[in-house]
Amino acid sequence: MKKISYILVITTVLASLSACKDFLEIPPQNPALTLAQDAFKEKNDYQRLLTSCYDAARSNTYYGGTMVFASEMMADNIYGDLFTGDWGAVYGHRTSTFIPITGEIWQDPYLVIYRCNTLEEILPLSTATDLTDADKVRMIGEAHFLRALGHFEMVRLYGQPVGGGKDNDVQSGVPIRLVPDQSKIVRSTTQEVYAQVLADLDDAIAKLPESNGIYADKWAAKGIKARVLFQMNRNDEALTLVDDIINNSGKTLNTDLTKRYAIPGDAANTEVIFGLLSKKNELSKIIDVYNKRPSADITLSQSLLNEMKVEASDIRDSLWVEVKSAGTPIQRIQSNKFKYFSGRECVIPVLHLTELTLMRAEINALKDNADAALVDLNKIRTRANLLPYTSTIKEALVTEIRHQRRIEMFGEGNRLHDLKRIGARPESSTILIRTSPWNCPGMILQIPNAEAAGNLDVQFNEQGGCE
Amino acid sequence: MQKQLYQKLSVFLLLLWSLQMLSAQGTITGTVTNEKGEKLSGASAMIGTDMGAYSDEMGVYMVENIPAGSYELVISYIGYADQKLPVTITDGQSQTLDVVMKEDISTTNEVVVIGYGTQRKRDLTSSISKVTVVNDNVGQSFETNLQGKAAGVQVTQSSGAAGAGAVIHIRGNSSISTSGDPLYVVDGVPITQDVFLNNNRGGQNNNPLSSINPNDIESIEILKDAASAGIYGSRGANGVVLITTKRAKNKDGNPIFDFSARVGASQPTRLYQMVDSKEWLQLRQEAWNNDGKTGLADLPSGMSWEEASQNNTDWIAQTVGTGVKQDYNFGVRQAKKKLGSYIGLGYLNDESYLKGNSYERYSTRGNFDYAFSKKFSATLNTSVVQGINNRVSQAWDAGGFGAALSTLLPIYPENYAQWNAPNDLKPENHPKFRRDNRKWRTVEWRTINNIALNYKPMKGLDLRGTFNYDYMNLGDNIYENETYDQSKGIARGQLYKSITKNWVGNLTAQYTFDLGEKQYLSILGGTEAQKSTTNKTTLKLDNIDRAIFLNPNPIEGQTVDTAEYSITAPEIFTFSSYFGRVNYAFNNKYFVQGTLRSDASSRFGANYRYGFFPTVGAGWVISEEKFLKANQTLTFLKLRGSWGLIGNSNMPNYTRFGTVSNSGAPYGADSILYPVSRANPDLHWETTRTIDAGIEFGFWNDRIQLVIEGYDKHTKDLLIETTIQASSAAGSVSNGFTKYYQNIGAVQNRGIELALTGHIITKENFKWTLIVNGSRNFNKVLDIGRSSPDQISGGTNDTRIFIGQPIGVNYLVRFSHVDTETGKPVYLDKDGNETFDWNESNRVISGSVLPKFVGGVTNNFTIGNFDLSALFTFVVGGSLYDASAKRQLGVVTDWNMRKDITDRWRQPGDVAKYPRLTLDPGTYGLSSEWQYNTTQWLYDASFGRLKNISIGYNVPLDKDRKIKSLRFSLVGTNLLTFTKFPGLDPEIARDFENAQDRNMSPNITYLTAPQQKAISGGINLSF
Repeated sequence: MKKISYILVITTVLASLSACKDFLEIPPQNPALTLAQDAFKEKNDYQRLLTSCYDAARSNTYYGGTMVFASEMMADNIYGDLFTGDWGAVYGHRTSTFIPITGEIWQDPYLVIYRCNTLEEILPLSTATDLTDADKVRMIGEAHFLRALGHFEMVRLYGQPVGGGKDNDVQSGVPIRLVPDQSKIVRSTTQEVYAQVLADLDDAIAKLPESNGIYADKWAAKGIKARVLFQMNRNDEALTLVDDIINNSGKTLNTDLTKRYAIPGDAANTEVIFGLLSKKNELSKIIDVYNKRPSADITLSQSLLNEMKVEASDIRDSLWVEVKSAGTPIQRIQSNKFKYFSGRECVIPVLHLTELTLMRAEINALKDNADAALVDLNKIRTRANLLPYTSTIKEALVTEIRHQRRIEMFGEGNRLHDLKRIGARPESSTILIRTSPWNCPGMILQIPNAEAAGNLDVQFNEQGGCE
Repeated sequence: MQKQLYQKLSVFLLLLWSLQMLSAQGTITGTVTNEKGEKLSGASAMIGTDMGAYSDEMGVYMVENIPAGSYELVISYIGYADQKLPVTITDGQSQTLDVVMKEDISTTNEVVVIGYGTQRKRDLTSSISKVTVVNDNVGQSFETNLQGKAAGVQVTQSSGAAGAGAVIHIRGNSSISTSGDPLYVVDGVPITQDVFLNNNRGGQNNNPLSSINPNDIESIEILKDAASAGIYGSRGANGVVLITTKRAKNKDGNPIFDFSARVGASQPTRLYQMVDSKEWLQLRQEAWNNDGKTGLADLPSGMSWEEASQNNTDWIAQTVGTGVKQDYNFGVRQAKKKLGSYIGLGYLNDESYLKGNSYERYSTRGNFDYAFSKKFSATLNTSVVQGINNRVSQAWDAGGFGAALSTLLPIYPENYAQWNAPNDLKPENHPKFRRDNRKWRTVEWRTINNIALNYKPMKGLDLRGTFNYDYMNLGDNIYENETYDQSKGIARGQLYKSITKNWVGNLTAQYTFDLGEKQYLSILGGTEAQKSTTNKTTLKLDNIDRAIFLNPNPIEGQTVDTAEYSITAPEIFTFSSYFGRVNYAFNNKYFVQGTLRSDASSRFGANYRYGFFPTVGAGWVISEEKFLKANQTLTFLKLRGSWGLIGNSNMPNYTRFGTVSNSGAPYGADSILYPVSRANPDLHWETTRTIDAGIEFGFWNDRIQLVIEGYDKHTKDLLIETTIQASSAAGSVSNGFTKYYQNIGAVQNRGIELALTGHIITKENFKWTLIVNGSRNFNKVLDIGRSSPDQISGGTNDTRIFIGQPIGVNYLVRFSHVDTETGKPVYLDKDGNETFDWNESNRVISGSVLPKFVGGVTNNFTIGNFDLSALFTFVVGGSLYDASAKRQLGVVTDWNMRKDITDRWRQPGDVAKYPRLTLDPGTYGLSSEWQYNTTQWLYDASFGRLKNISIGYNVPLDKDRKIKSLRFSLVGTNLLTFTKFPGLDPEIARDFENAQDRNMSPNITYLTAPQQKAISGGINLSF
């Protein structure tokens, strides 16, 4: 009896010590985290998700840095013959899948796309009472705009160029992500990616309001669409859009050349059609990217400096570059384009009126509409303290417009794509980027290990071949 | 009230006493000696389980008040075989029985510690290795001393840095993404053992085991199979290491004082010959000319040739010296009738050969046993340790030994006053400047405590409740004075603090049935709860005074500028468990054991709240059977086997939850919210099914013991942190996920182990014992889902996983030879064709980091008063990858190079080991110099090493003196190494980024400091 009662008591004691359920329910302790199922309740929650897309777009590996810089490194605005390591591989047009920079650049554009897709997925399920249909339409418009931007930047850097002869090959482009899941998909063709980009932009143009505060509006979507079409050498369609923007958006060219990366709200910055706000106190990263990576002695190329020195009255070389230790073996040409806002916030100008003005000039010049081209060109020349250009000889005019474009837009990540765009034009003789053909295999980045590791079927780009 | 109680008790005791007086009783007394005639104090003399006494200082025991009858008197003394003598007690008589104890070479009667209890070794149905730690290798963490000591246990010491730990695999490696380390249990507490609490800061992982003073350890039991580890359920799959600390032993009431001191010195096992300044400049120029350039080659950091040629700095000499080691321990053990106590004090100062690097440890331990009554007793174990690791830069971290093998060029001036503009040399990367102006200490406060209450309310029933608390306070303190960073010009401090509070409470009840002589049945049931909380904070201070900083709690009111203060969210996990064990024995011949544990944890997904882990084991002592009982040769033979399921639940704490985050800077004025992880309700433990079979032989009364074991482990639901396509990731590295955990894999480990102990010579003045163990493990990945080769890789990207291959294979482009015409390296493509292009699609499986065979041979000699012990360990098979060689012998860059580069191509027709020099990775068909991973840097990892050799002299002492024993000894560690590896040290494991890296990439070296070669002299004194 005694034994049995002991055993009963012990059993009871042991059983009563059974874990209360709360003991085992320990959610993440980080106060910034919410369990996903409890997170989206009212309009502002969805708006914050949308804002997080802009936040990722300004990151220092995307528009805020590495992506822009890598594109410059592959073109001819930087001298880097002595670069070693990963940047040496980017500069030398020989990236391989394990070069970490390729993955760094890939990550955030797709992060933006993932978040936009998440928004598109959960928005229709919302029961938030303060969320109107108009809000939903606008949010989808913004999401599609940002998704288009992401796919566009990726396909330009990692995919074969439009008109390069391989843009319809299997897996010549990048993966198109339209839903926020982890399904294994392969790369679409370049043509398919461009088609998706244009479809998203059309949808954004339809859904976005004329004015949307610091966020993307209808003009932004139209302007980016113009850039995409121009990149594809579909100039007539681009021209219509550019006319519309220049005539109707109310944007005007900056008069002060130091204001392109103005602090937010600076009234002197009148030409930004779509810009991103840099992170507070992280502007230095943008400068670092241009001046301090991959090593402290990064220098702009002599060919860029030469272009800025063609006309003595040009004020841009004194405003935008500085030659350090001139004449010594360690001479270095430093970019000062960003220095006016060091340490504070700035606007990262994704698209500005200068670009569209020069785009229209180039399209018109190519269409033998020299007079119209000169009007736009001379707006830019005058601002740079140059005398108006007068020659109407087509080739000279086009060259002059492209020369101005190189100076105006150096450091903004467009040069590589401009050279490829020009290379793809039928009338162009072989365009070289430094010493390599514009469409040699290594002129695009290799698909990063971070992408290929997750799917056995993702095909790599042909490597190297840009000797 | 109290008074009443006292009165009642007194009456009760009086009654008891008078009852005893009334019955018929007798007494036995005698003297216990050994064969040498030395009197043994503290020997136990027992009659049954209730009556007994201990011998006194003169070896005299006396058992009184024995009721008349026939008994068996059992005399026991540690290290001697039990003496059993029949005795008949007659009323009122006193008998004298002198006993001569014989030294015991058999271990079958040894008691081993098992989970939640102890068991006689011969009764085991499971696989347990007992290791007695010899605290001879000064400064080495205790677990590194397990190397070569137990079959099936592979120990790879990571590096030669002070306080460095080891990677231990018990019976192979059965995890990929979750920790593959065994569970460490100190006196019943599953301790905090995370090696990544300090991440990989400075190129070195923290070793959470270094704060355990090896001198406090009585024994280590390694639970290898399911039947032994199954009682630890979801955490036993990698094996369990039970650490038992010292307690009072000899129960004669006299204190025994032990003192030991050991002093030694250490140097690296091997060093590279790096090229000097002149040679380096020649190499640079040769590369420059080979690349078709003219004039003098550009030099890195904007140095001029004139300046460069003036310097010739030996950076290895700047970072390597001779380390001095000191270890002092003092202990007292005393057992009185009610109170037993052990108190241990220790001080260690272990300098490695790296200048400025040392590990200091102040340790105290007190273990107490108190018997309130025959039924009720309590134990208290407590230890407080402070470990101070004076850190220097390791591996890839600038300005240390790793830098001396890489980025510190001989052309750089030795004097850091010259390290300034116009070139880029930053003084903070100069080893001496860095050591002098930047102090880095990792300070750990650790206290491990248990309180246990035992209550035996009735015969056969044993109730036990324990409360355990393990507190670990780890601070990584970095102090930089005002001259350190000249651009800032202020003193700065960084403090990375991590505090882990880990408590475990359990209750067990064991009942042993009284089934007569022939049968034994015992049932254990228990419940356990554990909660571990880790809080991490980062504090960065500007303008800080060093004195304040070294006292890591900055005093209030001091003017310091807080540059950053951040709190990492607490990491909390809980476990709630029930467990039980049944042991049945019949006739001392047949043994059966079953265990069951159920674990619930905060880490498990909603669909898998509880895991059940059953095991069964059986043993048959064949030598007890009639047909063998009389055999004088084969005196012991046992067959045993077990089956069971055990788990591994070392996944991160919150990975089952889907979450969104609002952290991050606002966009303009607008806040953000974004998904960071996806919910995984199916997340659960890995399950390992283990089958173990063993046969144990004892010849000539265990003069030769042989154990042969085989096992088969099959792990399913393996947790794999899968890389998802980056285009589908909800995050970048800092925000959200690019990988997630899934239970998708399967791994198999099969193996055979052998352990042999031979007491070859047992003469009194000459003894020779040979102990050999070895094990062969076959590791094979059975499933990882459909996966690309790069889907699962170590954090530092060194090895890969393939189905059908062992965990951690080298996946490399094959290097063929150097082309005699062009001097370019020739690789082989996937199909074996020669090519000049290095392309990752040409990688093939070319080696495995897991060895084929590991083992150890120990020889112990006793010759008169001298003793000699030598441990030789060996590893056969496996590959070793020298990840830094690709830069030291590859493209000419801003790295220094090894002298081996002499054997290089210079002109057409040259047959050389290394290709033409170049500054352009494109020459070697590479995209960058970092990609030069080929089989040229892959080596056979086999090695044998004289791990430890010690010679001791025991001073003969007069028995009546106060001093009980005095021994002088000399110890050598890693004195001889036999290997084909041309690099630094074949026993190596680089710094790791995470658990997956640690599982997959031992045997990879990347500027890793080689092991220490050490010699020490010591004195051990007991009085």
